[in-house]
Amino acid sequence: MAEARSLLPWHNRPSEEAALLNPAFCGELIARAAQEYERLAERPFPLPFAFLILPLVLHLPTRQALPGRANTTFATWSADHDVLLAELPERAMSLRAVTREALLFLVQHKALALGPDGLSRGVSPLKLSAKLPVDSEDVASTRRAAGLLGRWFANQGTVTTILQTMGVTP
Amino acid sequence: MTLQLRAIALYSHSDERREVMFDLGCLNIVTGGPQTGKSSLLRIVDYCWGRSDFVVSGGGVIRDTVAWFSILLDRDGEGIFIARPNAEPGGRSSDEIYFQRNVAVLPDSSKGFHKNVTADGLRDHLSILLGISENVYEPDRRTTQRPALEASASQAIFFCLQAQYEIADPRLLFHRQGEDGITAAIRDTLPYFVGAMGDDHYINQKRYADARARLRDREREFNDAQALSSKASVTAESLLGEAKRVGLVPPDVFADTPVQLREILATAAAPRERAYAKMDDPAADLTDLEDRRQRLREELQNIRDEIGDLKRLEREASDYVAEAHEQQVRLSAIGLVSGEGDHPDRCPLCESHLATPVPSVTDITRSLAGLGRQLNSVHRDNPRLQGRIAELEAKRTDIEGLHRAVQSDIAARIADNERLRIEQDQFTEQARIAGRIGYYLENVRTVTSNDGLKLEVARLRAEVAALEKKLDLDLLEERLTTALGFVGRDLTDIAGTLALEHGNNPLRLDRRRLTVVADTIKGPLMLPNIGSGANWVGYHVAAHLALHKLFRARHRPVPAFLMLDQPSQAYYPPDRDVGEVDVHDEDQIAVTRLYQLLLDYCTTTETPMQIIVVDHVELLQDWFRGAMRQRWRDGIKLVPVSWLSQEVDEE
Repeated sequence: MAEARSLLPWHNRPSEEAALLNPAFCGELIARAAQEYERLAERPFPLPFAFLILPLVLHLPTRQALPGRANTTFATWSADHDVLLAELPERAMSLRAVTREALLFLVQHKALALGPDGLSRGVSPLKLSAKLPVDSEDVASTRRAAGLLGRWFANQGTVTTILQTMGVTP
Repeated sequence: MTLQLRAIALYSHSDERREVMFDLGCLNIVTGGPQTGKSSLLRIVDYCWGRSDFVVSGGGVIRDTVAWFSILLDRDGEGIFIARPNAEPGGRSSDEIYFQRNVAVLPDSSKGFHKNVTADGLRDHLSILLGISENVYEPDRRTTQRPALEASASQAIFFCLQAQYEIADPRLLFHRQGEDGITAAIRDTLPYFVGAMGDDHYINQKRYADARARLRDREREFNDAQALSSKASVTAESLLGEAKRVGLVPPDVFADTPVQLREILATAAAPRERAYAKMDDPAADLTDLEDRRQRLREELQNIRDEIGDLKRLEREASDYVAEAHEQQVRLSAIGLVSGEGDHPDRCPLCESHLATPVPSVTDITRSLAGLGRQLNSVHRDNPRLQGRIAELEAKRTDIEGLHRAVQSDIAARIADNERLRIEQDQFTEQARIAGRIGYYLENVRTVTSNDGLKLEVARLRAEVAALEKKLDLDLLEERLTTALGFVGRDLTDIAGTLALEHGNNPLRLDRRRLTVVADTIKGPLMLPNIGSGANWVGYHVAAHLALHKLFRARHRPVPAFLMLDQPSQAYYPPDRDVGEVDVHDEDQIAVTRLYQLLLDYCTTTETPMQIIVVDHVELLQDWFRGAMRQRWRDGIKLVPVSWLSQEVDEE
């Protein structure tokens, strides 16, 4: 199990890593999932879920394996993709620092607010419907997957069940 | 012409002469005891006539004492002297012959004797003397290996001599009959000597045989030529077909006659200007093209490599662009954030100081801007790269065009070469056919010009026909029958006179078997079947007398003498010296009858005939005594006793 490594200051990071895993982008993905979850479940996005978003959507094979619709039974899906899930805890661990930074970035900008039940909409939320000047297919599918995860988690049982299924503990 | 014997003479080593003289045209008798040299007389005649082997044995006396044997012939009064030396000690006959014409008397001395003629020459001389016409015929040596054959003096003498052992032998009617080649010679020359054929018969017969042989050869040649020319027309047709095939003759040409066919072939074989393409060495040309193709290929490969390099470069660049773009896209998520967050190095939740400050919007925006610049520069570079690639691709297209052109040039050149090779093959084939036609035409000219052969065959046929007519073998046979009819009649007469057994039957001379045949009522009876020595001697004498009667009547070239050695031997065996006989027994009567016949024969025949008899009997009649020339008794012998003492003296 890889150690959760802390991030270097922005200017010292490798430019690729800095650009690809920048807190704005990662935060956006988490915000999308949280927003969708909150919209459907009408309750704040549980914090542990935030740490699952990036590992699930940034890893291409996992993202492609995600169900197309939010009403897919989570248990069935996880049984079909146990190989992918087996690697998930490690990826979640390696991306924990990134997720944490993204969460800090979101909270600092008051896009999300952290309450006792989890993450909820902040005073100045991200303008998620805004059209950005540059785009790519990869990024677009990542965003769709993030939104889907929010809806899917909202439709499935308890947080504990999901976390157990994913093999991840808070 | 008559040729008779005047004398037989011996010359001793000491040049003494011993002679036996004979009278012409009458019976001459020499009587004597045993071993007095009687039989030697006949042998001396035989030897001096030119016989090749030495036959005068006569015991040691003659061998030791005699230097020369000789005979003196009389030809219508001309003396002809022939002398041959005694055999050398080894027994070989000497090839020395001394021949002299116009000799009046026997030479006294042998001093002048020397070799002046060969055996062949002597034979020719004697033939001429006998009157045997020139009938030596030399066969064409190219067509036959037969020796020249002729009727000559050598054969004539066979009818004139009867040696002691022959006269009583039923199987040997003629002198030397039974020896190798002699029988055939007698048989073949008999028709000539009895006059059944003209003097030129032999030469005609030989000419005929030769002409026939030559005719056969020419006819064969002619037939061969005919066959060749009939075969030739078939060949000509096939040659025309070949000439058409290779294009020497247009395919629509046909010949109606052999002559026309030959003319067509002549034009086909005529030398012609060949439309032969003068071309550079096609192989070298091809090599140039292939070199060029190789160069183009290398150039093309270089261009392709360069394009490959450039494309890889471009791809790498675009990979970078894609990567940078992804970063740009993700960084631009900053655009979703409004406003600047405060205290990036402070935790917004617990207000504690963060070891690593959260990147600020400014930081991210700056990164975004930097990426944008980089991407722009890459996009600026790319067109240059692509321009280069486009340039190279254009060049590649050009070279590929050139390569295709060279490729098709090579293909065309190969096809060209193939066509030229086929053409050349055809020229070769044409030349070959033309050559064959030329050769054929030459041969055909030879065959057709063989008209000479045709003429020669016709000429030879005419010659053969003419000779056939001249020879007229049927006529010959007829004449021979006539002649032998005369002989048979006389034979029958004489046999009757001698009271021989079967003498009352018709008798004839069988010229094939060379014997006397009595045609009895039971069938033909030949001499060996008749039996009794008296009959045998009688028939021998009768046959010869009958033949000589015909020879004389017809003036045939046979010597007019007959030598008989001891005809009385059948009555008085030679080992018994009967001496004077005056007993009137049957034997004596028979012997008297025989001598009476001989005496009468000489006097009654129209032309003179000389009969020389050597015997050991002595009849007491006056006519017998009158015919006696020598009487060798009481120490008188052929070789005088004095010669022997000389021999002793010399030793």
